[in-house]
Amino acid sequence: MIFPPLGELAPSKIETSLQGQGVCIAVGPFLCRITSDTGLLSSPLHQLYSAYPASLSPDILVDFEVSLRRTGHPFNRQVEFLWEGKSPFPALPFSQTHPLFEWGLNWAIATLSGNDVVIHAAVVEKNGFALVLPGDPGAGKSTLCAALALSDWRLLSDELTIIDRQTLTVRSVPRPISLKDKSIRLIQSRFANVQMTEPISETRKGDIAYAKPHDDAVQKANQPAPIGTILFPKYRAGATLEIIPTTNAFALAKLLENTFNVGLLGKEGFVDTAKAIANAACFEITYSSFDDLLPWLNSECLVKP
Amino acid sequence: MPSQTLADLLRTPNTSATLDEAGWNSVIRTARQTDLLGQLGSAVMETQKKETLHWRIQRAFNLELTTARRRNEAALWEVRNIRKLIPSEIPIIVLKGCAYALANDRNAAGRMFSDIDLMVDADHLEKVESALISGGWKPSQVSAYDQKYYREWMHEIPPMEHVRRRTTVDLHHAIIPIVSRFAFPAQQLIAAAIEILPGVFILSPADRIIHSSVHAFLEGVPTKALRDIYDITCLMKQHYPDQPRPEELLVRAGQLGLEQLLMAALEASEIIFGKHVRPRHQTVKHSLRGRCLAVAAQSPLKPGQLLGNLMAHALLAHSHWMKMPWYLLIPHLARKAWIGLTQKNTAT
Repeated sequence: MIFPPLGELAPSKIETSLQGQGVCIAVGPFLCRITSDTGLLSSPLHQLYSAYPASLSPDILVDFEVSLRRTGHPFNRQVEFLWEGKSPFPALPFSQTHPLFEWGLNWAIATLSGNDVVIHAAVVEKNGFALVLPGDPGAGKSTLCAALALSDWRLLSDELTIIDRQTLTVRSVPRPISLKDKSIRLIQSRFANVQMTEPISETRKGDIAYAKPHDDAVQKANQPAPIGTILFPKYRAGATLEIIPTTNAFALAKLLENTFNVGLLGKEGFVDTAKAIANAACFEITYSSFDDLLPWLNSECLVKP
Repeated sequence: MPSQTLADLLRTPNTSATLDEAGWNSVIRTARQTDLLGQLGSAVMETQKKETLHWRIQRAFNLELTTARRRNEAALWEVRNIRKLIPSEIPIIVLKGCAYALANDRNAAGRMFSDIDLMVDADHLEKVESALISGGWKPSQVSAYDQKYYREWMHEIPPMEHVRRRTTVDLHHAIIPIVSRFAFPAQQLIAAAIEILPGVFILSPADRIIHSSVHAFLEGVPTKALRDIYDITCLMKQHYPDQPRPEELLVRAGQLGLEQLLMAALEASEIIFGKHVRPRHQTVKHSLRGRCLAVAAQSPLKPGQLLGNLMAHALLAHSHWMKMPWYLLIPHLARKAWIGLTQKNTAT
């Protein structure tokens, strides 16, 4: 079934549908129905998800339903995220409705991808090969991912590297790219045309804003890519670019630390992860500027394994 | 056609072809809410060719079935480890989900459980607890009151979590709180238990069904009761086919003083899942307790119904009545209410 993009619907229509039977959006291989009585979701959906296939039909089979609900009391208005009617996380201040939706959707996609290997890492593609960017919070993986995805790399995901265990390739589940604190300004100044939500402050992760991925990445959501390169980035202000090649064994160990479902998948999980990265080139890098890094990435990184 | 509920589909999984997409949405959602999706998947995929199911439905079922299988394997691995930790002369009895998996009971396929429920004779409790601690299971940090609540009144000690693996063990010395009006010595269960691995025992099929019946009432939570009743339905079909009221089972429940609870649970199982047991026209008078349990357990399937909500509260009240005598219960509930008003995060 092919749905028209969400952008064809007027924002007011999205709002009334969210308040009613819901809006179904295809995010990679998942079709989810979204409802919300908050009044705060239709605008970011309209802005960021315009290229996503969408349907307003109440009767189509979906993978799951998420709902953003007003809760709390007049002096402490809150929003809660419901997945299939259950609330997996605590409520947040009402103004954080949109970030809560994005976090919740990430959680739902990670959970429902449990039969694949799900790694906490950003991933982009160029020339048919995936570049995986794992990284601890603060290592700059999201910023780097945004910088690549907003130039000529294709975004597969800014949070979840999902390895299909049948084909051992990375699934494409593109989503708006989350940016925090200083990265927001950095990306805005570098990419003048980027569509970005207004930053929301005082979330548990600091200021947060979301950048719209390229329509092309969303439209190619069914095109997976084998892993060509794994890069462990570390941002350090003022540092000169330093590139240290590492072994695949080292990369495997680091990736497994960042795998959500390694325990669930047991030995098949790590065997498949090892196979999926067996031919990848692996590096640890320290950088302070994209301008140093991008030429190297665009040349070295794209040499076929 | 009336909308098919999860219960209908669990009873007759071969009718799933009649469900339309909207029907599947609602069934899968309800199954997720009641933790029955894996068991539904197992039942449907047993009666129906995989290819006839939409790939989204297959994917949802497959994930639950894999997760349940992995958790089963992990739990059985823990049980073998625990067996090595505990002095070999002490028999350990595995209860609930882990026992169904060990017994290879039909309800184990796709059944999700997270805690390992073990039972030992009360005389061995201290030794077993310290053996578990030496193996890395950390006793819960609970208040002095909760320690007393568990140790002096209940049938289990506070849950223990493994420091590295995060697995939780619930160590029991009975299946009913020791201060309950239904309390009886666990030796009666231990004597009839079946050795399934060297030194590892499970309750006899009759006792497994009786334990599930007790559990449905003791937890006082509709979704859990529904799952217990589905367990009972599967165990009855497997161990007592075509016998709605097996003599052996009733006699056993009588010995333990649990006949009324068992009967009520069997009735609820018939009301919710049980066309197979008796012809429709034959009117059987069900007990009030059985009917109330059935309505309460079905309340998550039909949210928002007044009677269902009422019975869900009645089930909770009944669980308190079962757990302890009024002279303990009233101060306990008053204390819980006070803590609930003044701070968050209290135990049971």
